[in-house]
Amino acid sequence: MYQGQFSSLDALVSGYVAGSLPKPVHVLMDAHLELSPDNRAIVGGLEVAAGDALEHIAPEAISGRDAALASIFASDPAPLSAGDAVRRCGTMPRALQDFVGHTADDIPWKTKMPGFREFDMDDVDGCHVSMFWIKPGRTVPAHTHDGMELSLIIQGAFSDERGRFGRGDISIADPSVDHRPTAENTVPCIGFAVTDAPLRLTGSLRQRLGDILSI
Amino acid sequence: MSEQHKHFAALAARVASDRDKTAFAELFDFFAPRIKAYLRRLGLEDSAAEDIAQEVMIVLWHKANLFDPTKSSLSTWLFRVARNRRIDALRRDKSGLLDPDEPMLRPAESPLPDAMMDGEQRDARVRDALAGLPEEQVGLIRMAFFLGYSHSRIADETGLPLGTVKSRIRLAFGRLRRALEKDEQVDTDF
Repeated sequence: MYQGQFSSLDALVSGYVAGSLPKPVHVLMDAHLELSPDNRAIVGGLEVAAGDALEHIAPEAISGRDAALASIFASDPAPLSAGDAVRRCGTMPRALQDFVGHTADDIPWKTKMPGFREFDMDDVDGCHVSMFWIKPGRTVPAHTHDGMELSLIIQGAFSDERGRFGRGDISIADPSVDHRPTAENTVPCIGFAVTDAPLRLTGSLRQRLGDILSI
Repeated sequence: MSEQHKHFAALAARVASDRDKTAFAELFDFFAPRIKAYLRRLGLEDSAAEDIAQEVMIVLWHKANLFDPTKSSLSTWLFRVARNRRIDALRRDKSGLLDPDEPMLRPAESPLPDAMMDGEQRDARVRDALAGLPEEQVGLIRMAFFLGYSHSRIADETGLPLGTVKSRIRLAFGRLRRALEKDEQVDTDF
């Protein structure tokens, strides 16, 4: 299904490995890697190469090296202990749950139209972030967005003119995509969506998703 | 595994099991200045780069037991810690606290992305595949996955036309993916 989208996915993969993606997009990639084997090999491979690059970079001396070492040996391990155990569900990837703060069964949905619910998380890092829920068999009416829309499916599946997107798949929709997704008949389709925030809310420093995706 | 990687893994094991300060100091002297240099390349101020390098080394001192040399080299493990610390440092307030939810600091419940292929086999394939690519392609994808530059930024930095940048990167990624996904393709042929 990724035919024709290689360059955008490659851009997501490189940005993920480099750590240069906006936080919500990094979370989307973390969750994708948890659910799907599609890009694990290339991400693992590039991390190997990045580790090698780190070994070969020209070092820059640390000022106060002895004091830095002494403060490490005196440091308290407590802040590094794992937090309280969190209730997990089988549907929500843990990277996504940690970001969203909900399991799939306790998301505070708001019904936007019959058969379509949304949990709007507002803007983070120059991106608009939400979860969506589509009733089985329902087609979401055509909607437009000014920029790119990235979605990760975590339950069920939807199809549109580009093909089928199921659990773990990433959909990259630019404004030219006739975006009328139809959920499959079996279970509700639940996904995590990241779009460009309205320009008025973003600083000039933030790259737009289209630039990140090199489209 | 290279001799250097074996040596780093042995030092990390001494830190984990014996709280060996001499072993740690050797790792600090190698990695802290390189992590600082990496962060400076990404545009961080000198003091911010040192702060994050210090946080990464604190993680190594307390959590060396979570490093598994059969899954990755110490360099790759520390690269991932540094990358994740930087992402959070850019977003968080200046409370100075380490994030207890740092994913690297939790035992894995499901296979991690790098656990699919045997670590050494995967490392060898990556290095072979990179060694087989034209240097002009390697330089471009390194800007993408190590420094996080977008294609348009790479075009600006290199003076190459954007179309050339895109096609060289697409070629390089295609070859890397094929090299790394050989096993899967064999499996699906049955």
